[in-house]
Amino acid sequence: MALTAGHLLFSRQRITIPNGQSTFDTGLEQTAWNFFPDPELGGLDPSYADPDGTPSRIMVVPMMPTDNWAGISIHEPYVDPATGRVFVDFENPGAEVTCNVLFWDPHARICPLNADTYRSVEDCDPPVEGQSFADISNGNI
Amino acid sequence: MAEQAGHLLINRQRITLAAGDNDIDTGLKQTALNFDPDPNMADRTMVLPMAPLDNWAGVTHENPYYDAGTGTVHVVINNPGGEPVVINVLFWDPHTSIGPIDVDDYNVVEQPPI
Repeated sequence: MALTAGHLLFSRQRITIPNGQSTFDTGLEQTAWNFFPDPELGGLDPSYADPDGTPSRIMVVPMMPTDNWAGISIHEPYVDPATGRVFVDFENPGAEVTCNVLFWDPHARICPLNADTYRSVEDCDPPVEGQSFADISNGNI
Repeated sequence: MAEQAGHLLINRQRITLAAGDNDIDTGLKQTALNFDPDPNMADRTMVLPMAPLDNWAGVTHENPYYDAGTGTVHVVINNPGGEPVVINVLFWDPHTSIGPIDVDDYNVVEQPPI
């Protein structure tokens, strides 16, 4: 991972997504650049707790083969306070699949930006009672 | 919407497409930076589908165009299904990147039906 010139802002990853909900570390961190009031890097809670609350400026860009993305959806990216990096929860209703994905923080561009949340309250499952951030981070869910 | 530092060049939107053609305002505006002879702003606007890609099934769009009334780039997105669908899309004007740009038309008119 190349971090010599600053924080990581681009991370293309080949990830294997198991059935159900899983959490991935994008590796992206806050940069010192700021164009207030641009969207935040992400909220501090997994998105399904408040999907319309904090749009993350992190772009989760599906890459080929796009067939592998069939059925895949994501939650809003959020900042993991333990690592300071952005995490994203994926939902895979089918069998385990490998996807190529580009995680991109466009903040170092010389321009402002805007972002909606990826999901709305209406299309999110309610949080499971007893589910915690720690459980998700540890892969227990 | 953050525009204090200049014109909006990156805009991720969650939009609901009605059946048929939908004229969508990308919110993107011309930047003062120019690397002639780059494509004009409407042509160089990138329309990137984002997950869930299932919601993009059958969806097509025309080449973006500049709307003189709003001063922003618009794009017509067609939803061939009979029901509204919600999509995530990234509209991006890459003009502030330190490099030239080349684009082909998005036009899909000549493509055979699926």
